[in-house]
Amino acid sequence: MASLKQLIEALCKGKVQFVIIGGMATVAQGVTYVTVDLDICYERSAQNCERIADTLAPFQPYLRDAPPGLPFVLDAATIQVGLNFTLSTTAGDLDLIGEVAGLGAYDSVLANSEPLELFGLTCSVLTLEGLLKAKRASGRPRDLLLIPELEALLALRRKAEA
Amino acid sequence: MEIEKTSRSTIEDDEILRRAEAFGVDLSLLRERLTWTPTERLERLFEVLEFVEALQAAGRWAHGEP
Repeated sequence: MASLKQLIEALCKGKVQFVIIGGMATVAQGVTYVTVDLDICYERSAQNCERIADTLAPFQPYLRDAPPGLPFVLDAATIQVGLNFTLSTTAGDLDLIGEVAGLGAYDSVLANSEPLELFGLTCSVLTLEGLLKAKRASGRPRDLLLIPELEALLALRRKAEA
Repeated sequence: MEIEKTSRSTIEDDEILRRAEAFGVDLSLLRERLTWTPTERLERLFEVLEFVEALQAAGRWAHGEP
C-alpha cells in the first residue's frame, strides 16, 4: 500500500494540476481515518488531461470493478469526455474527480486547498474547512460521521493558535 | 472587545470539543496527530494498511483460500 505514495509522487513530478481530496486529505490534515484509495480533483484542460494520462500510463489504470478485457484506455481524450473515474492501478485505487460536491470544479477546490509538504514534495490538499463543506454536501452517512472529528480538529487548531 | 470575541470563540470551541467527545471522538488521538507532519500522518496510515493486508492474507491462508 506504500505504493499510493508512488502515485502521489508521480502526479507531483508529472506536473499534474490536482488537489488531494477525500480520505487521504482527511488523514493528511490529522483525522484518525483509514482509507485505501487516493481521490484527486483534477484540472480539466487538454494539457492537464494529457499529463494525467502520461503520468498514469505506467501504473496501468483500468476501470475499477469492470470485467477484464474491456477496450479501455485512459488517454487524454477519454478523460476529457468523462468527468469522474474510479480506477484501479498497479499502485492502488485512484479516483479522478472532475467536480466535488459542495465545492465545484478544480478552481473552486483549489481555492479551498492549501499546499502541504508530502514526502518532500509540495501538494495541494483540501483544507479542513473545504473537507467539511464537501462532507456536508455529499450527505453520505460515512461522510457525515466524520464531521464531528473534522470540527474538533478545527477547534483544536484554533485553540492552539489563540 | 477583542478579548470578549476571543473568549466567546474559546467557549464555542470548548462546546464543539465536548460534543465531539460525546459523539465518540478520541481527542487525545487528534492532539497527538496535530504534533505529526502531514507526511508522518500518511506514513502511519500506510503502515496500518500494510498490517491490515498481512492480517487479511493470514486469514485467507488459514481458510485455505488463495
